[in-house]
Amino acid sequence: MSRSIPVSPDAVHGLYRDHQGWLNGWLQRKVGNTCDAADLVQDTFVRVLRHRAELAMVREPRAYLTTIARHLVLNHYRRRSLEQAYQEALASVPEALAPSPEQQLLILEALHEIDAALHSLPSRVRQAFLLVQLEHLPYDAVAQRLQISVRTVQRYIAQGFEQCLLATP
Amino acid sequence: MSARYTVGADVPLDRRAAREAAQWLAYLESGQATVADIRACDQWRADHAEHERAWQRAQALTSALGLIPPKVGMATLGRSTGKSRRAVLKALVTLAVTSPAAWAAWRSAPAVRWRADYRTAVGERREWLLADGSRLWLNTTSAIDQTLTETRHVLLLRAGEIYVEAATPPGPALHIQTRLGTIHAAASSCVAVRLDDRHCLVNVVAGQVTLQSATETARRIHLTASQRAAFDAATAYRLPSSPPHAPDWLQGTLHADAMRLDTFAAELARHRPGVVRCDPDVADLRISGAFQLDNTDRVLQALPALLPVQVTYRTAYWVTLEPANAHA
Repeated sequence: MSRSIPVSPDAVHGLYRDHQGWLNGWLQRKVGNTCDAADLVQDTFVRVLRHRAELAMVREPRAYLTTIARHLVLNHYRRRSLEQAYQEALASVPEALAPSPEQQLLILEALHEIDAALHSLPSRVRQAFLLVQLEHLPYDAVAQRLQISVRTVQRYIAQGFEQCLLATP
Repeated sequence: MSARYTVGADVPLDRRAAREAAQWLAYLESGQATVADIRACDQWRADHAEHERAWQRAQALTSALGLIPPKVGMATLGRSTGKSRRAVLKALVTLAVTSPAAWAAWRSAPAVRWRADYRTAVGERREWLLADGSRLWLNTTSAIDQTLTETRHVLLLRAGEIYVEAATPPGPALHIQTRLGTIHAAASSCVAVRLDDRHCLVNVVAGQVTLQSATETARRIHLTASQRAAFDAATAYRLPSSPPHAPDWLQGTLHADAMRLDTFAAELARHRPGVVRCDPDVADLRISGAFQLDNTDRVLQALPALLPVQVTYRTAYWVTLEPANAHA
């Protein structure tokens, strides 16, 4: 920390100037199209700007940028598969009953958040949470199925709820 | 109804409030919770605005998760991570298609009640004809989100009191969802549902209705015309039958038959802004009659002629029923 330099928006500008072209190329190879790559470059630098205090500790700017970008790419694919699944499911709903485009956007955001929240849970916790929420199994049945105590089931359910409640876009 | 929070949906919840709300939810869902526990949870919510915000968010979450037809969700949940990821995705997407209003509300929380498809203000009563031919009445301060698909018609009762005449066949089955449980109404059934902080009362006027409490999902209570039942967070139970007629509030009247005065005051208060307080000294008095809900001031003014009480207005919004001559 002793060698850290003061981090100003200028430092982010410098990073952007020196590496955005390279990052753009890296992302294009990852996602295979220029539009999404450009969006992801923007998202990466928004993230950098928001956490610019971290920059003082960064030795390898490109490694730092790709760490962020890799996470965003993963997110991007997850969102795309979700959108696809949602559109396919919507196709089975009569057009008159389908939600408005604005509502669909809200729903997709919600799906993305809950999906990401569930995804970040340890798999046992997620399994217990889904058995209760989607299968409506009572706690003792979940305990029996997963070979854990009822108390643990309750703890897992709380953990699942907490993760979802803290989910942000 | 009013927007109680100035904080937007995008402001993350306080971590501790979120954790406590999650613990309350997990406990209330365990089936172990007693009425006293629910009250303790109410108290926790009232302790801090952020608690209530976390709770509203939690309610939005459970409505989003709660409307899936049992067995659709996880039947195929695999063991391996790759497979389970896809199965979870499918389950979530099914949920979102089944209950779009609830999922949209998750993103627009916390002012969820404003997003409700049908709602009434204090003192307002309204009737709607729904797309499938069902008729819906909302009593004062009530909120309903409607989701209608080819096979499912879901009314999510968020607050207040409703009366529904379900569409005639071949309309889709009608499900009235509350946070305490679900009411399944057969085609052409007529049912009144009233939700308060702790209970949900169901009164069947015609047809066939099945109740399923949120915590005892394996148990069903079947009701026919004139039968009544209630849920709380722990269980569902039958109540004594009553003559099968539509609720009096549809006609804008409140019928009291030897009703306790404190209960009467609470009923009146639902239909007017502000507070109607009943002094404990007169709470036991009994009142009978038919009262017009459209003019609660006139009802209040008439009380001293019926009972040994006087009505004191501290302000227009703060009314107290006291023993007659309390200030003499």
